[in-house]
Amino acid sequence: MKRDDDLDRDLREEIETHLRMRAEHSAIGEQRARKQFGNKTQIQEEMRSMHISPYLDELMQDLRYASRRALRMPGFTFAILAAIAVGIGASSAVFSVVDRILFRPLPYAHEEQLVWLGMTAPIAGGEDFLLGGDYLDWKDQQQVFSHFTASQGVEACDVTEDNPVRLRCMAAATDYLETFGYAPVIGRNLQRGEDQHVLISHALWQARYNGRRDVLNETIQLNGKPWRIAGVLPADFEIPSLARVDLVTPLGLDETSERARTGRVSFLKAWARLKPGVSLRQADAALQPLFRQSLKYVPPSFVKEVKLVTYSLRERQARNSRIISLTLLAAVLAVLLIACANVTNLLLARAAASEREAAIRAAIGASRARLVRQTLTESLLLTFTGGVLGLLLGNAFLKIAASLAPAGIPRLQNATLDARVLAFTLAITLLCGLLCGVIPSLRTASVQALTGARSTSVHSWTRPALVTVQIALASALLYSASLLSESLWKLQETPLGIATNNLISTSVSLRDARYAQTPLRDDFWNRLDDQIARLPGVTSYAFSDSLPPSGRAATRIFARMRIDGKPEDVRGGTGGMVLWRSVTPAYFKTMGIALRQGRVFTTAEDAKIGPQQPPALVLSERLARKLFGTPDAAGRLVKPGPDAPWSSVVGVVGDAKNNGFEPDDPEFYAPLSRQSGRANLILAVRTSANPALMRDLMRNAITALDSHIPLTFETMEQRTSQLTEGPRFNTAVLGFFSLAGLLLGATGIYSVVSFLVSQRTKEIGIRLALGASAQSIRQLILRNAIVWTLAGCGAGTGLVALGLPYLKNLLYQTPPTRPWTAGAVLAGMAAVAILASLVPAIRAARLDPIQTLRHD
Amino acid sequence: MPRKPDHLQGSLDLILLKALEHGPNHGFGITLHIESVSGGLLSVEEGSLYPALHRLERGQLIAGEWKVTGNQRRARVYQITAGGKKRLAEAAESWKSVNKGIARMFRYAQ
Repeated sequence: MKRDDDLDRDLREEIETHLRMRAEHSAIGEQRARKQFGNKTQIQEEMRSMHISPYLDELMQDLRYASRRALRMPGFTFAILAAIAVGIGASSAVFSVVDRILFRPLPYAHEEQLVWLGMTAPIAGGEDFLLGGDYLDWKDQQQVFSHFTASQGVEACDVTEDNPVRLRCMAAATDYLETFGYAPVIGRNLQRGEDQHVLISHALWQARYNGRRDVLNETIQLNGKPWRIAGVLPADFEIPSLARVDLVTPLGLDETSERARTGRVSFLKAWARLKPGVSLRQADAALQPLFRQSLKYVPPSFVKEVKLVTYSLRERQARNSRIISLTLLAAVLAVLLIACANVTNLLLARAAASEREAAIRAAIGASRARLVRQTLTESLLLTFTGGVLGLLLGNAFLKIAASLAPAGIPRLQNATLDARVLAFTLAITLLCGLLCGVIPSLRTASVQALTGARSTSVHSWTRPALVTVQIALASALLYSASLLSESLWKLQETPLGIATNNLISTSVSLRDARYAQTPLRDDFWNRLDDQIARLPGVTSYAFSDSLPPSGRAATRIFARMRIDGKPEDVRGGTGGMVLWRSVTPAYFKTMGIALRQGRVFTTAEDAKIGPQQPPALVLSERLARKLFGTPDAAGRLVKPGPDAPWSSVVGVVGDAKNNGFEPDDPEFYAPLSRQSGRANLILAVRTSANPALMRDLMRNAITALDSHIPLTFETMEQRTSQLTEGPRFNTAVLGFFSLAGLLLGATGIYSVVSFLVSQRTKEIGIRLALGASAQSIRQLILRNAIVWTLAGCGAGTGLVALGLPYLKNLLYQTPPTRPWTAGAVLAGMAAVAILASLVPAIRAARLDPIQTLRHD
Repeated sequence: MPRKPDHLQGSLDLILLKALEHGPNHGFGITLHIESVSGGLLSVEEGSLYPALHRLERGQLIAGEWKVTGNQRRARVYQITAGGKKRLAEAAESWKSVNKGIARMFRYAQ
């Protein structure tokens, strides 16, 4: 259709032409021709109407009608808009987060060809790995992949020049970028046999080098050695583990020794790209012979525990966050459904209230299709307005969620309402609009309604059904949220075994070439020791090579530990991992770890004086029990591993949380030697002062010794709260959803009961007039509400039972079937629902029978 | 979305289509043509001519286009479409049979 102005000009010109022709032809004045023609404006308008689609015209009419109605009942409109805005806002926010985890295309070309593979064993802590020799052998012999690449894990590395900073480095094979379909944006890839060259991340290039193109071939001092910058990684570079990487260095395997499995063995992570036409299953089968060949190098007692694993990249990547993503998605869709049910109910109530109006319209000739279309237009207008509000709300939700800074959900920080989220929002808004509009619109407007003979809705079952569904969803949400919060509470109540207050730590690395010689490093530690000892406000301080409650620590295999001169236990299995830390004597006092038996180290043991004595060890209570069956282990002898000497247990200390969410590992401590020449130690300080002040004092003390050491400080409270960050976030989000669900459900049942009361006003009036007591009227009204509530709670329990296998993964030491929790939640839900219906019930009982019977 | 009318709206549409079957013409030309061909028996109400033309155009039975006429005047010239011809044939058929029927009725009545 032409634009309105153009159309009008055309029509006018056509008429004018006609008038001129008529005047000329009949030799009459234009004035007369005009008169003969008739009402020009009206005719033009008539012509114009031929060009306007009747649908569009009716749509405009319907929209006007709907907005007038919406404005006439502001309370009603507000209730609908609020429900939709909350439902859609929460859905968009959640979708924008989980989209990145579950649905979004990965930044890799032909991501479906990418395979995440490796071996897994309990001693690797659930991580997939490939040993250097296996990687080299498999890469040579496999025939199912077009690319086969590997990298080390991401590790901290220090820039040891001006502006020292701790970065994240990853050593990768030269075909790493190519496998994932990346190429450097400037410069070139790393090449085989090339050492001391690095690729820098786009972010680092921008931040440290201002995006200068002449950065290539500059050197960067890394861990005290100069590295040449070979290229810059693309901005969308992302490694499969999603960890941040600032620098990529060459893998540089010593092929001969790796293949021989002698000397230093590298733990790698491996990925491959399938050749076209090869399926993951075929690739897995093709790797089996290579895997069996590699098993020959595994100690026989462990063979049973080692498995080959192959995953599609996406599947493996989403593994950790998949369950929480799906849970959140399910929860938010439940909220959305509750909101939709609410809106449907409100629209139904209003449709019933205006039943007569519809009947009049039908009687004077509005077709059924026209009435249906009008109801749908109305519900769509409301949902779309609500949808726009919802988007604004969703944006706010997202900001709040990001500020809760969870570690459990990757990429939350950069989740935004992008085009995909907008499309999703549009789709669910449309769906909601139709869903909410369809049931009310299907009510037949019958002329009978005019007579007042029949006043109950045809679909009398829909309302109670909707309320029951609402209550079911809300109680399922509440139940799940209560399980999560109980689990969180348990997690926070778990004794850490550490006094977390007033404890601050930093990791200090001597990676600079200036500390190449061991005595120089020992000298640094000694001087640092003196400096810290002299600081004011230090209650106690210690050095160690690792720190609880999470993070890397040295490990031993339990099955390889020997006690009291007995031979190694070769019954099979690894028996799990045992952590161990090298610590100075004051470690236990500084950390607040309780001494259970015997003593802690002495300074003499620390300094390794008296080599004729066996080295001293301190066991955690858990390890003492596991080794000796009793915490009473002081004085016993332990050989921690085949390469370790027999050592004497001098004391047993309390267990300290050391394995994140998982049950604690057993642990032992060895004295940190003063002549160890370590390049990296953690300094922990317990202070009587403000930890922030202590941090500045410590920083000054360390920079006074060396200003090129990058430092980050953490209080123990920060370290331990990181443990519960994920569960806290899950609980907060699910708690919010269940509250929203509860509120929406309560308003739902309230509005339905009120509506039914208004429908039955006459009946109630008659009952009251015939002598029914207020009590019996209340019961009459409440009876229905109670039946729906109970049915809803029952269905909700069923829903939770269905979801339990998934939910179980999010719970920490909480058996997911808890009759008390379930009972309390369902009772609470029922109480709220019944309270909400009590208000209209009381109102019904107070009706004046005379008034009600007069009521039209 | 154009909506095709199920039937021609009365005899005016039929007359207009018939006039245009003779050849493309502008609105004023159509009135002259009808008057002359009907020997002055039929005259078209100018006020209803143009809405009818636009309705036919919307139904894609005729197509209108701005053209320059013989005496250098710009006018909107209408032309019957294939659909229009088909509809005209159908309408003419039913018109004839209705006519025949009515004529028989009159004869019978006499």
